[in-house]
Amino acid sequence: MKRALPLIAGILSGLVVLAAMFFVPQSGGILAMVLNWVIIVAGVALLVAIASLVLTHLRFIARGKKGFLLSLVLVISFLATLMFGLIRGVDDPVFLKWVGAVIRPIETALLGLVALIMMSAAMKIFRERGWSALTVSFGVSAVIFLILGLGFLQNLNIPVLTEVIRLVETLPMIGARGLLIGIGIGLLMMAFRVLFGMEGSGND
Amino acid sequence: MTEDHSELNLCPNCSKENLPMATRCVHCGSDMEALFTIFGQPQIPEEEAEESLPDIIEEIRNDPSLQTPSEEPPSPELVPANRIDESILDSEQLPDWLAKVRERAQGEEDAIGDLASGTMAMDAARNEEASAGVEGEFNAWINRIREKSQQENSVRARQLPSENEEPDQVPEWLQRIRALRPRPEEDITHEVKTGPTYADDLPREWTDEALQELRRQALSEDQEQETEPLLSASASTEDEETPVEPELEAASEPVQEESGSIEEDFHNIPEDEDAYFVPVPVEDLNQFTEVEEDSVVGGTQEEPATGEIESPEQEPGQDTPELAEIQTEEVVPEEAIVEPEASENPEQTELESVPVEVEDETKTGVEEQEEEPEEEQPTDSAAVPPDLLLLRDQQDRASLLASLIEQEGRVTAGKQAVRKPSGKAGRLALALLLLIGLIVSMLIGPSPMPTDALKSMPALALGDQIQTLAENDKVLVVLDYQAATSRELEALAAPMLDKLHVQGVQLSFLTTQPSGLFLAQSLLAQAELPENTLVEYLPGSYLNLIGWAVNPAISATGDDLLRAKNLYPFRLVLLVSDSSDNIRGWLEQIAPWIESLNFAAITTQMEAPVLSPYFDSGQLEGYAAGIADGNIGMQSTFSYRAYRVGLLLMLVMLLLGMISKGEEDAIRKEEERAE
Repeated sequence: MKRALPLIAGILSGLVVLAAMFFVPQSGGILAMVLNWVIIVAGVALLVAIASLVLTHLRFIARGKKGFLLSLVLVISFLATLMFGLIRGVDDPVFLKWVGAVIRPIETALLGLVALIMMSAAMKIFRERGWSALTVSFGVSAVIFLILGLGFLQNLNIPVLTEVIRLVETLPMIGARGLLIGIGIGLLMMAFRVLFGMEGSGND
Repeated sequence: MTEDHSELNLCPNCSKENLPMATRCVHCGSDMEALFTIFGQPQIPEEEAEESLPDIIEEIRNDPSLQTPSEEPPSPELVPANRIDESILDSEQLPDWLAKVRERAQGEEDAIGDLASGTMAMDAARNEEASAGVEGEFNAWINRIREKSQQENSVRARQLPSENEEPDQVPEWLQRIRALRPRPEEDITHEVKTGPTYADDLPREWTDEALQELRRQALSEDQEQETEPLLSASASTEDEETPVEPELEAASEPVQEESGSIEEDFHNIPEDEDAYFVPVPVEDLNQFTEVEEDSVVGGTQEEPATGEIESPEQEPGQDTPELAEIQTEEVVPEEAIVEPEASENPEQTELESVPVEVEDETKTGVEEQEEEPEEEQPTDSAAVPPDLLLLRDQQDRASLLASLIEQEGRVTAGKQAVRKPSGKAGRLALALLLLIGLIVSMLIGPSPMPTDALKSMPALALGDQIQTLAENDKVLVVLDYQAATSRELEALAAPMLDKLHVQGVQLSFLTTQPSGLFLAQSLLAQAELPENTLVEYLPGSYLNLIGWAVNPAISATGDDLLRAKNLYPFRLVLLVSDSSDNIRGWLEQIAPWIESLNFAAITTQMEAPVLSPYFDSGQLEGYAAGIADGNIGMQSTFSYRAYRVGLLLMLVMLLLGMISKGEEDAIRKEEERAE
């Protein structure tokens, strides 16, 4: 029974949303209601996740586990932000300014580290993977588009070269189309698995 | 020292004297293995030895002194001297009186007396020393024979090149000697090697007195055929000297005449030695004639090499100058033969004195040699027994030592290590190029994006779409990005928002991210929009708008919680997002229900390729991605130089990875090739 209920709920939800798409004028209210449920459930799940995160780190602090100082920082910052937002409101400019002043440099620094890691990976990929079709194609395409990104070749204003550059720049679109087609097929297969009760997540 | 006599054997062919250990006659070269004896051991005929062998074995078995202790009666009073007495008592040859005395002495403990006991103990000790000396001498003698046999083998190997020479150009005596003699430098090596095997109390060098005494004794004993044990040291020394003796025979008369002028300076044999001339063995002549041949062909340059080979073999206690003199003595006579005038040189004078000495030593054999026909001399030595040859490892070690000495001081190719490409120069060049590129980009290149730079097609389309907007047109701006990408997106969006605001377009802001609330403040500040601009939060992103998009009647009824829920009044939806998935959701879930609504996007360079199909299909009116499309408006929040530096760094790192991989492969191939 535990496995049947989630399975039935998933199948019914999928069929309702699918039917609502075909019968648009009549099923508009039902579709909006179902999507609101989805948003509410997602919000509740976010609260549960936040509660689980805080409790886990409180447990680390209580046990004195290695790295509990970081847990202490997380809990303190969470409580401070929660209290500040509850008192001053989420629309308060001062609150938003302080939060933005903390989050923006941290995330920007993380993105800069990602750029450095990508540079290091670009250097090591040939050592680790050797010379293969994948690595060679990756290296050649990366070199080409990095050179194009510099803009030197475009500024030469050579007609033939400009046409070649435009032709080369269409290659990513081809790849993106293939990627999107693959994503669509994957979503379709996932929908069929849910509708026919074959999705593994429903068995848990 | 020269009083030690050896038992000399007579050659069955020429009836000349030879040392007892000689297996070949030093005069005629005939085989004398039948006369072979060991020093200190009487020569017993083979037949006699075979006949007496059972008797000897029986005697050994009956000898109580050679029996095991277990068989002897437990008598702690008996000492080894008593055992000898017992063996003597058993023999029947003792006289009766002596047997009685010994029998009585055996019965009485103190009959022997302290003096007799001490004497007997000394005799036993002497016997042990003598037996040990005999063994050492025998081993030394065996070594010498083996080395000599090796020399003979080497002579055979050298006979082929000498045969190529024309007989007319080479004297007959030289041809004969070349056919018989080994190279002298090998004999020199032989001498040095056998030197250390001498007993400590034996002479290592022949003095004038010793040679004189030896010859006198040899002549006196020639008729008597008496053999006396001669220490192996004297025999080996004589054997070492004999290779020098044939020089006179081989050097012929001119050498003797030439060396006669210096004879007085280096004469170490009395004048009456002519009467003691002994025929010179033919085999020993090879040792000198080979040096002559080498000196004729290669000059005297080989002399130092010979000395280099010899020097490591010398013992510290041995007289090195004497040995060097001996070595040079054997080489110089060739010069005396070829260029007699060169003897004026003092050094050569010293060297040429040696042939005179050798001549004096061997003069005694000249007369007898003249009497003997030359045809009697064997042209080659007999086959050497295998047990007398040098072991292979000994030959290898000798050849290795010789090669090392030859290569000493030379720069050989083997010492040079295989140079592996270190790649440091390439890396240094890349680093310099990187630095130069950085400096040029930061100093020379333009800081802002050039206005005349080419724009991408989606960016141009977006610019055209913005130009078509009129005053009071409503534009919904959806902020859907994180703080990490805020710099890139705000640099693109702020100028565009400013331009729309200038055009009088009504802007409505909506964010789908909680962080969008405070990020919008920064964007509004950069776009110079009023600070009180409302930014609404839309939970659930585009899912929250699907219901209103599907059923416009619901939107028309009004829901005051969100003023932007009704999308129909908007002419353009501008998506500022760093996620292509969210943009796809807007285009796939919202756009189909509202045909009059246009969509445009501002995204990152990384997400732009995914949006290109939507632009190509017309679902997107246009989009701007990255700093490359930042020339749409007036950007002041980023540096174009820094952007180029970043691209150059990425490019250089990628090329560096390729080069390092290629270098690694090249090194590996080089190592495999080396192996």
